[in-house]
Amino acid sequence: MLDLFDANCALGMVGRPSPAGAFLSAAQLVDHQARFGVSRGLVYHTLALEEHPAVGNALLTEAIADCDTLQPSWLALPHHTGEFPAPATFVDELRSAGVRAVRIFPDHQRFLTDDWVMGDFFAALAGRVPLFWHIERLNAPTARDIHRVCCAHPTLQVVICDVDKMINRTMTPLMRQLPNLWLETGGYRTHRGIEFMATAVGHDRMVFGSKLPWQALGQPHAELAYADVSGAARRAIAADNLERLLAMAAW
Amino acid sequence: MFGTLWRHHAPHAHRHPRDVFAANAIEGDPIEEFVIDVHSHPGPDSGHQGFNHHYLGGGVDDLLRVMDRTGVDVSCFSAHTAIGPDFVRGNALVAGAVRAHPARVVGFAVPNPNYPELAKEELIRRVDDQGFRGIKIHSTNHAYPIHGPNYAPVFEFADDHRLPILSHTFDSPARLKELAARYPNARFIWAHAIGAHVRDPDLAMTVRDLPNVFCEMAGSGNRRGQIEAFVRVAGIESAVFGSDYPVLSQTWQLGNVAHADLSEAEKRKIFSQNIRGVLGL
Repeated sequence: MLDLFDANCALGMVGRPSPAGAFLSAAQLVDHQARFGVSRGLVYHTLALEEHPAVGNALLTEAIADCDTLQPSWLALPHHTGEFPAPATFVDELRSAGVRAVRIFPDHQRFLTDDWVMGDFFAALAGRVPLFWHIERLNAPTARDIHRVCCAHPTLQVVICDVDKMINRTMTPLMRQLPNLWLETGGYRTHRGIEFMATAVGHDRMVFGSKLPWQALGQPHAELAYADVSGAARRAIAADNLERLLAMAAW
Repeated sequence: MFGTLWRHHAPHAHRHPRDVFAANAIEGDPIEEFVIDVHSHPGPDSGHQGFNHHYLGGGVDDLLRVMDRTGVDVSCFSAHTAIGPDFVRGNALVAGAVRAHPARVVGFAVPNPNYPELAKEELIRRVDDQGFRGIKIHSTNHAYPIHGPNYAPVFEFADDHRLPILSHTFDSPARLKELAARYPNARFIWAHAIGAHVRDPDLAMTVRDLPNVFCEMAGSGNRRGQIEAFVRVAGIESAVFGSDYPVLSQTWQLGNVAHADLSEAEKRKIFSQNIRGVLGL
């Protein structure tokens, strides 16, 4: 069985659960993942997304305190409204808590990624902590934002999460031109997509994700398990690339 | 009724039984059991397939190679071109695939109702002369309502020939019920419907009383546990495996069913038993 490190999973209650429900504890999530060979997870708390990062990030620390297999990732917001720490302070908090990954959901949480909003934040993370950028759709504004941010902050490692099908024509040139751009495969349900991206761009910047609890793990698992790629490429996407990415963190 | 709905939506623990389907899929091995994919859209082998997006391959030979890898024995082909601009050209491509691979490919003829005379000729030629065993309609791409008059001859043809009709529509359960009753010898396969079920529970409750209706799960909005939720209401006999590959990914849906919280016997029904007789296999 393939050993997997899940780059995109969440625990906690959600307002609109899938028919199979949510994972109300770390143990429930870990138990479910283990059945698919997922031995580690880079997790966030659902309330960080559905209520507020300040609430969910704190709950996450508590929820996974006794869990060795889940690593924390925190959600971030712009600081201008006073509801979130300034970038330098946030980075200090990440370091203190040993958090080595940050997520943003700009579409869902309604903020722009322009430099006049997030420039200081991206600069503070660059070279220190990878950024997991969750998108609703790889449309023209989002693709241009990704291109601009990755160009402006070349040492910021950016992982695009929650992609959908039909992204190849935009994602391929982005990945080719931006060496600091990574792809999380959880929503990448394109026919032979992993195989294509491994050939067109290389397998070393794709990371496996499940999008639990909303999506069935069997789907992205099968995408990777059946992909016509080498064993080394499959293992890299399954776990090794994410390990390498997180090892780039400054602490 | 209310109690059924509540139970249907109540979150439940996912047990993930390890049966032959899950055991094969977890290793990326071909499924050892007989598997039929009712929903597939090949393009030419030229490497220029996706009319609105790119994917690798997508021609007949490519789809067969994917079937070899996943263990899908038979796929129901209707051409990508046919559900788009040129149904005659698309049906001809599938006719070639049926001739070349009769044991692996079941042809589904596509009629475009905007060309009613040609559509009628196509059904006769493909089904009566070339051995197609089903019909695919795409009222969305062809921008023609499923209850419009030009679809009536298509349904009558299916009823007369006892054919399955794979339908890409998001019409109401009431419309489906009306069609199933009016054409009782036709077999309606409602594409993408199991995902729609999460938004519209009436569908499963309607389908469970219609023996000539099946639903498949191809789609983007597949939510965890939705197949299990659907069959708890509609009954296992109402679900069939369809992927919509290469427009979507066959492996994605294969994993969805193979790892579903269902028994091995239930998965066997979804993967082949429910539809095998309908296709004459």
